[in-house]
Formats: sequence, C-alpha cells, structure tokens
Amino acid sequence: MSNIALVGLPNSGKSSLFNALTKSRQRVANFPGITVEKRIGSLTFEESTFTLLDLPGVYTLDVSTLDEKVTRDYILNKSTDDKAEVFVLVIDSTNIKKSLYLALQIKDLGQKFVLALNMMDVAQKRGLAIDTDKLSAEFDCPVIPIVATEGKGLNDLIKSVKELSLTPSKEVITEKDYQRQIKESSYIKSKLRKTEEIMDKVITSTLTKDTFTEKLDNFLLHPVYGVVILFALLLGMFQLLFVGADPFIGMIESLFEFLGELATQYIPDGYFQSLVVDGILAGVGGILVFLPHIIFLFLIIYTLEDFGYLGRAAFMLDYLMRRLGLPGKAVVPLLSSHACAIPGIMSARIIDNPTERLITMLVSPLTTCSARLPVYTLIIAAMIPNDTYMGFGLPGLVLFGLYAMGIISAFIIAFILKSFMPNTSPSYLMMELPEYRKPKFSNIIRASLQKGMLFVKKAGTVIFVLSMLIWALVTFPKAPENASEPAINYSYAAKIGKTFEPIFRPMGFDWRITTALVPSFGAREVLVSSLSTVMAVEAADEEEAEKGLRALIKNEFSFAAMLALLVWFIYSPQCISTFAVLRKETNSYKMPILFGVYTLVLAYVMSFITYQVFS
Amino acid sequence: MDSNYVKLSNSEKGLFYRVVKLNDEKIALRLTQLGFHESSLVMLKRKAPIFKDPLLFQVGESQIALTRKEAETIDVLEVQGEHYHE
Repeated sequence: MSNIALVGLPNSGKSSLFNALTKSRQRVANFPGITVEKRIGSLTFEESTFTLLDLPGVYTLDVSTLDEKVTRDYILNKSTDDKAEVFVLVIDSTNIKKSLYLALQIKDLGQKFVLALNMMDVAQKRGLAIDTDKLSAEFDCPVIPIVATEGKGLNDLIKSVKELSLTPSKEVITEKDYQRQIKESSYIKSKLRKTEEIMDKVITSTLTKDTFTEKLDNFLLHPVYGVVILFALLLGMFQLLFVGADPFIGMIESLFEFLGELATQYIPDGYFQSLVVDGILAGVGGILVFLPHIIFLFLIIYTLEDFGYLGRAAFMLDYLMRRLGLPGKAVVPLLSSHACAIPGIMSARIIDNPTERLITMLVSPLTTCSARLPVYTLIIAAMIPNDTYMGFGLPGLVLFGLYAMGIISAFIIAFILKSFMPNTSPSYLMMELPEYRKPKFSNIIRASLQKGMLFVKKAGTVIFVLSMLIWALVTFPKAPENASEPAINYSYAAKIGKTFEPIFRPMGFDWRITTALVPSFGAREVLVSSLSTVMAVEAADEEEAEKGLRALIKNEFSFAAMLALLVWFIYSPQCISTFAVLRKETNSYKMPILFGVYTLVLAYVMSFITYQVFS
Repeated sequence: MDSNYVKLSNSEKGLFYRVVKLNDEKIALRLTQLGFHESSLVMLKRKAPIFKDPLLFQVGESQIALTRKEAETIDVLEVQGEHYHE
C-alpha cells in the first residue's frame, strides 16, 4: 500500500479530484494537534491499493499560514506516520502560470510528483493550447490532462502515479536547507522569472476571456442588484435553516419520545427506567437533534462555495463587518447562530484568520438562538402588558430588544476580545474570487453529511456525559416517601439551587429559579419544563401547563426579577453542547473555559444591573 | 521617487498598470502569491457596492479582491495605450 498526497492551489479542483478518485471511501479527521481538516480516502487500481490524502490548498510554501505549514511538513517528509510517496499537484488549466511557482518548489524539495492539468475541457474550449511534452520535460515529471468532475483522464493519472511509486525515492531536502533557500534574496525573483520562461515555452495559444463569469459578476456584484441579491440570499439561508430543518428536528424528537414511551411501558418504574428514558434516550436525542441544523447549514455553505459565491459575499460585506471588528465571512456564523450556535460555531471555519475565527466562535452564542425563544415568550407573556407603544405592541418590542441586545453584545465583546488576543497572522482580505462553476451536488451532500457525523463523533461524547450528569443531579437523591413537594425539590439540583440562592438574590432570583436553571444547562428551552416541575404546576396537557406556569410566575415573582431572568438568558454560559462544540472546534479546553467565564461574569453583571434598575 | 507612480488604490478603472513596488513587508509575500509582484500587470475591475471598498483587480487570469488599505501599499505605473475591453 502506498500513500499519495494531493496538493494544489485553492480552487484548483483538488477536492473534486479527491472525490472522483475515492467516491465514498473517505473519512475526515483533523491533522494531529491542530484544527486543519484532513481528508483521507482510498482507491484501488489494478490490484494495488492507495491511500489518498487531500492536503490543504496553498499558493506557495513560503508564507507561514497553518495550511501552508501542514502542506510543507508533508512535502518535507516531516510527518511521522503516513509519509506520501508520490504527490499529485492539481493545476487549474485555465490558470496554469499561478501553479508553476508551487510546482517549482515541490521539485526543489526533491519529491516525486505528477502534474494533473485539471479542467482541461474548459481551457481548450477557451482556446488554450499547451505543449505537455515540453512541460513534462521542464519539470522532469509526468503531465496528465484531466477533467476531475467528469472522471476523464483519471486512469492515466493513477497509472503514472503507480509507475512513479515504483521508482526509487529521491533525496528530500531538510527543513534547514529549505529555510536557507527561501532566505536568499533572489529566491522569489528567480522563481518568478523561471515561471515566465516555462510559460513562454509551453503555451502555444493563449486563453480567451471567461465571459460567463464576467456577465454574472456584472449582475451579482452590481451596486444595486448585487446588494439586493446578497440580502435576499442571506435571508433565504436563514429561513431555510429555520423552516427547512424544523420538520427533521420534529421527526427526531418524535422518534425519541416514542422510544421513551416504549421504554416506560416495558421497564418497571424506578431508577433504571428513569436512567433509560430521562438519561440515555434524552441524552442521545439531545445530540442527534442538532444534525438537521448542521447538515442544512453546510449544504447551503458548500453550495455557495462550490458555485463561487461565498467569496463574493465576503467581498461585499467586508467593509461593513470590518468596521464592526470582524471579517466579511463572519456574517455566516453570526447569522446562523440565530438558529443555533452549534452549526454557527462550526461554520466559523470559513474564516481564514485563526484569531478572528476564534473570536467569532466565542461571541456567536450571544446571538439569540431558537432555544431561547420558549423562555422569552413565556416570561414576556407572563410579565409584559399587552399595550402598544408608538404603534408597536410592547411584547414584540421587548422581544426585538432581546434580539438586538444579543447581536450588539456579540460585536462589543468581539471588539474587546480583539484588543486582548494577539493576532498572530495579519488580518487581511486579499483573496481570489474564483470563476463561477456548476456546483457538484453529490460532493456537497457527502461533505455535509460528513460534517454531521464528525459532530456526533467528536462532540457527542461530551454532550452525552454532561447530560447524564444533569440527569443525575435532578434525580438523586430520591424524595422521601411522604414527600409533599415535587421530587426535584429534594435533589442535588435543588441543593445547588439553594446553596447559590444568596449569590443570585441581588438579581431577584429565589431558589426555585436557581434550581430550574440547573437542568437548563442541557438546553435552554428546558427551563420552561423544569420551572413547571419545581413549582409543581399540575395540568392535563402542555398548553394548560404553560398557562398555569404563566399565572404562577406573575403571582410569585417580581417584574424586575423576571426582566433580570430574560437578561440572564441573553448572556448565560450555555448550553453544554456549545461547550462541547467549542472544545471540538478549537481542540482545547482553554476556549470553552474562557467562554464559560466571560459569559458567566457578563450574565451576572447584566442581570444584576437590570434588577437593581427596575426594582 | 518618480512622480508618475500612483498607489494602486488610486488607479483608474479599466486601465492597465505595472506593479513597481510593494511597500508593506508584512503582506508582500501574500500579495506575491496572488500575483502582485514587480512588473506584473494589474487592472482595477470593480469596486464593492455601497462603500467602494474592497476593490477587485484583474491580475493575470485571476480576479483578486484587496481592501483599499491593502491596495494602498502597492505602487504602480500606468501602462500607456493598453485598455480593457468588455
């Protein structure tokens, strides 16, 4: 078995080739110790099996971005386990010159490689003629024209890779030698001159302009239509996330409700039943319920990216977002976090600068996710009079205010975090806008499902363990035989609630609220049902229960305390899944802890102020 | 410095310019990767809607977006007689 690694510039069609070669025999992981995604697949050709590694897209090897370091380490044979024997450099044939610099570098380092001239069909249609024999002679390597999306030329490519893998390895230079090379003052100039020379030799007829991209850009980047379309698309994305994912979320919830009922029927009452129904089933359901949002969001993102629009959206939004302290691409995580912070945080990967990506991940959960809505509507319905104010309904205004506070706080905190976090790489836009291309939906669907599975695998365990912990806290110890109060009031959750009550008194919270807050760390909307349980609301159905709860809240708690609770829910360090996904995405415990601390302080201070002002 | 040099951010739409110098060391390497290096031919193609920032340039076969601030770091010289036709 031998290893092949794919290298190439961003948008060279490297991923298309990877997908075409490996089909479904692929998996996604992270490179050890960092959060750069690593895609590995396998393919069989004439009874030999190859492992294929998709390296991050890079322009050259000299700038020390994380992606470039990963790729360079592979080419310098520094990775210990799966060294690649042959490299395939994927080149966009409509833009060959740009790839030649990287090709020269790989050649210099001493690796065996093949040049795969991708998108040869488009290039030829646009009049490009290229002397592949001369190109092959220049680099002393095979040159194979391919069309990755249509599977053309792949056999020839693998054949030459196989032949090359059987030849003796060359001497690969050391990191030290490489560093010495690039430090020479004439290094870049001589490489650039060399690419010009090669181009003059191998290109016999040049390309005509790509009129399709030109025409579409006239429209999609138009000063008026372009903006209208952009906002329509963002709104559409948001709607699709909310409305499109909803039935699937409903299905998952119904399935687990059904399984719960089944378990209740067949397992005798007691701790074991509670463990299965309220612990295990609720925990697993609580993980899977995120899948529709994650998969939907990534279907949208990958489609826009594949088509070539994502960069253009960033181009149009960059100025505005940078004034607010974040890059243009941060719109996607911030907007989708209004549905749920979990997919929002995951989508922050599209941001190139690591520090800005981190800041976006840390502030995204402040935006109003859909799990806050049941809590908001409950308290607003109970406490806010149904008056009109300047023509607007007061309850609606309060809800709007909560949304506004969420997003404004996210920007303010981002601004503050920015001044504390050292920005290791320069914050720049500097990006290429690729030509428009027809999205390949089989690849998009596969990649989106992989994202979902990766979430279950990497974040699932943490979420499950924490939700079991919460289950134990509300279940143990058992209520006494002749208990007059709801069972939860005798549990550890109530003990925690009572212990912390003094701390929360300046916000008007009593032990019943602090107790109900404990299970809400699993998911915010749980507060509604846990408050019902703590306050022993008795009702035949859910609707009546909420009515009863509303009346109880109105009677038992002060207006100021409930406002403080609303404010608490804007900022509170929640939920456990947010912590789990932050841990997964940053590959460290530091960031989830930082998130927990800053939101806790913020939630406490803000609700404290609210209560003191209104009481 | 020759008075004919202009900053790329002040270049006129549709005219070709030759890159003379990259003035910011910190981003020079990245700009070089994207095609902005001494003697390369560039042209301002579009400005972003509303704020007229970032700017979109044609460099070789690529379209590259730079913020106004990034484009300010590049000195260019107008190439006479070459115009871009749509």
